[in-house]
Amino acid sequence: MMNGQLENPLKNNKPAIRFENLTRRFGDFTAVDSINLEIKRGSFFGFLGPNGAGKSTTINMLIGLLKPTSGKIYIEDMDIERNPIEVKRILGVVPEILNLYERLKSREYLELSGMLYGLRQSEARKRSDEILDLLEIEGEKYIVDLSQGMKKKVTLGAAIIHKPEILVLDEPFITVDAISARKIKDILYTMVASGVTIFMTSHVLEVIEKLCTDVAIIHEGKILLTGTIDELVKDGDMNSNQTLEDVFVKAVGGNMERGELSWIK
Amino acid sequence: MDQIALLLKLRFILTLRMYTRTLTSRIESYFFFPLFILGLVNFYAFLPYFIHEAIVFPAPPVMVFDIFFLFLLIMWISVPLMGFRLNESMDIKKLLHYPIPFPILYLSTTLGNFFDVSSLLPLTFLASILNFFLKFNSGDISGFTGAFLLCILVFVFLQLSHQLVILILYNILPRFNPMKIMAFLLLAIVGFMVCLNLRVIKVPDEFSIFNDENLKFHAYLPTGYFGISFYEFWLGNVKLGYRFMLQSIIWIFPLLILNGFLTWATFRGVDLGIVRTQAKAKRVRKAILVNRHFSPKWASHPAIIIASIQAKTLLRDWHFIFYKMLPGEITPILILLIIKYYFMEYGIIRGSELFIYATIGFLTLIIILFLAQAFIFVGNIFGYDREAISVILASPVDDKTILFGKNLFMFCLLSVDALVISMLTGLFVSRIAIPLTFFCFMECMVIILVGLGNFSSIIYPYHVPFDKPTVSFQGTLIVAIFSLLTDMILLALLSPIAIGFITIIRMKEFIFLIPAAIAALSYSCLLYWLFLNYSSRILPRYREMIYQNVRTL
Repeated sequence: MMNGQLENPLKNNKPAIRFENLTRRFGDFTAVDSINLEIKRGSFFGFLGPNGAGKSTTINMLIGLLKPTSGKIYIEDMDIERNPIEVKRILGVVPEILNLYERLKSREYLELSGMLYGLRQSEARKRSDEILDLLEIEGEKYIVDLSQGMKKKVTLGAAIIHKPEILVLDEPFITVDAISARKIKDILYTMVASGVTIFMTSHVLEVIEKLCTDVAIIHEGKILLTGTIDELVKDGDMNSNQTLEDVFVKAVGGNMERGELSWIK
Repeated sequence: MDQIALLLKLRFILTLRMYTRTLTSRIESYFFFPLFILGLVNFYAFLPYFIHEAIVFPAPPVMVFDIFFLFLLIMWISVPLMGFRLNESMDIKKLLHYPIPFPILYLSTTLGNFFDVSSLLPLTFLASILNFFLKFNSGDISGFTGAFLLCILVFVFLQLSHQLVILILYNILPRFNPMKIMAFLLLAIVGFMVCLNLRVIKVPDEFSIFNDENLKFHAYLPTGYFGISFYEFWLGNVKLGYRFMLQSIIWIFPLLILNGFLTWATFRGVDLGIVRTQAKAKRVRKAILVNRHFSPKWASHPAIIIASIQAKTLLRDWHFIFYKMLPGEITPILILLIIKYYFMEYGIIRGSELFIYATIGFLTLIIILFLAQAFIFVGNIFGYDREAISVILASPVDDKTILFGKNLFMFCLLSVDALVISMLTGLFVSRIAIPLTFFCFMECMVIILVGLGNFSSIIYPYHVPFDKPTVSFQGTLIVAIFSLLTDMILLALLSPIAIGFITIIRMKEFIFLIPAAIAALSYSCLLYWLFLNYSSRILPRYREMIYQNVRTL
């Protein structure tokens, strides 16, 4: 609070999310290896990496489902291990594997989520109606009877119903149709504009390139590159015609040549 | 408090919807619940008489109460493992990204247990024993209040044990390789039983279950003090009853702590075992190594590939082991052991005829039901391929090979079962020819069962979810009735083999067992071949139905 007014979150220079030497081992396998990362408040952050790079492990630690082997995660300057409930209160999560209560109706699920995040019932109902309308979700259908895309939209609705300060999205656009994807993108832009920080993973690099302001590339548990999209794509050369895909393939050591199979020619 | 109320409401809604969400589930419930309630009411009336009859026997009453509570405990903690439909809100992982403090999460999941409809089952048992208390007492019912309180305590104890099983089922077991643990357990159990039978291991008298009222023994049973306490209340020794009741509370605390720890570990993301990705990496490395050094020609035969894919998919899943294999595999073994130790060694069956017939009838019913379960398992070979069914049906492999490949897996699995059960029959007899004959008979049964299963899988395909405990008891019951009909055919086909073997054994002409075994196996293989041929001929006509039913049901 400054002079009786709310502090503008964008003016606060402290990072929204901070990883400090974050490490996660499973036996002798290191999934995440001492990563250090700062994510600016109000940024749209893309977290990229090939399969098995450590993205999901990092996200699971970020949302408090997995305990780091060592290192710290700070969210809005709060240590996630010490303040798990406070941190969860300001987070919204869309996990890759949907874990919904299948015998609830979508409207009921959204209301339940809102109330678990501390909204009053009337407010939760009002917000879920808006979400259902906007994302064209059938509110009276049981979740078990919805398509995968619809389920994804319900999960997204449940993640934003309490107006989180930080939104964590793990592959949010998979199985979602183009029209809904457009609407979701609009919602995300509005959220970023109002100071919400978004942390998103996706394998579709075009989506990341279009949406995100900042990215980090992780490979074999280590952060290889981090910066704004422009910084990475230009890489010091203002005339560079590289795309994010080129940068990504180069960074993770992939072959830039055309893919070929010996028996298909 | 708001969150607790919300979570309990969620639990209640989800429980109710398990039985009423769709028209099918409603019809099932309307059909099943009257039967269920009728069964429970009958049980409520019959059990006191059964207990009374049991007490007349040489077994001391306190032991009967002990066994009653122990049986109740075993039944109740094995319910989640027997395919009884579970409430989806029992999976606490679904709530972990919400800002719910640990005490609220723990309290609401513990209290939520009491909302389950299946709680009616232990409640009926407890009502039955109170009914017994009132009907067959010595004229002194001053201990009834104590007995009533004790029953409430037992109910809490049972629910906590139930919760512990669910927590282990959801949070710990998925992290371990089921086959390794099962193989180890099976070897350990068989080894222990053989040692016990050969008297290599002797059970000290004070731990013997049949050593009358030895208190030391009771102390080692979680339900021991419940039994003693109830006995004292029944006799009218109220003070003593309360004393033992207080002692029995000791068993509640470890359960509360263990449940709390497991919930906390899940809540904080602490590792409780190996993580799948790591195990998977090891498996891939091993598979590459095996392929490099061991890849004979027959291993690339489509039938072998289908069988090995089925084995790899199913045997690595705990749910498959628990819901599909354990009931069919372990129960006959347990029944054999119970018959051996309870009835033969210690001669407990020495009472009225009604008691003997009731006991034998009960055991026979269980065996028939489990035979039906075995048929559900074998007679629905496409039922486990929900995701892979299109790949299997579209693969460029002829229908006979597909069926044969799937049969091969079932055959291997059931043969292991037949081998173990045959070995255990050795507990009853001294002549080795008997277990060998029994094994041969079981193998014939497996071969015919698998052949017959091809036919029923094609004309009555249905999806069996094994990746989560959602198989409804009602659904299983309906399918079991269908399976029982098919079992009749199986029994008719098996009867010549059984008659042949029994005649030779009764005449004690053991030398004829060898040609008889060869003839029996040839007969079974011929039947299998006939079923396989016919089934592969009709499969193209039923392809669409199989695809639809397995995918959508």
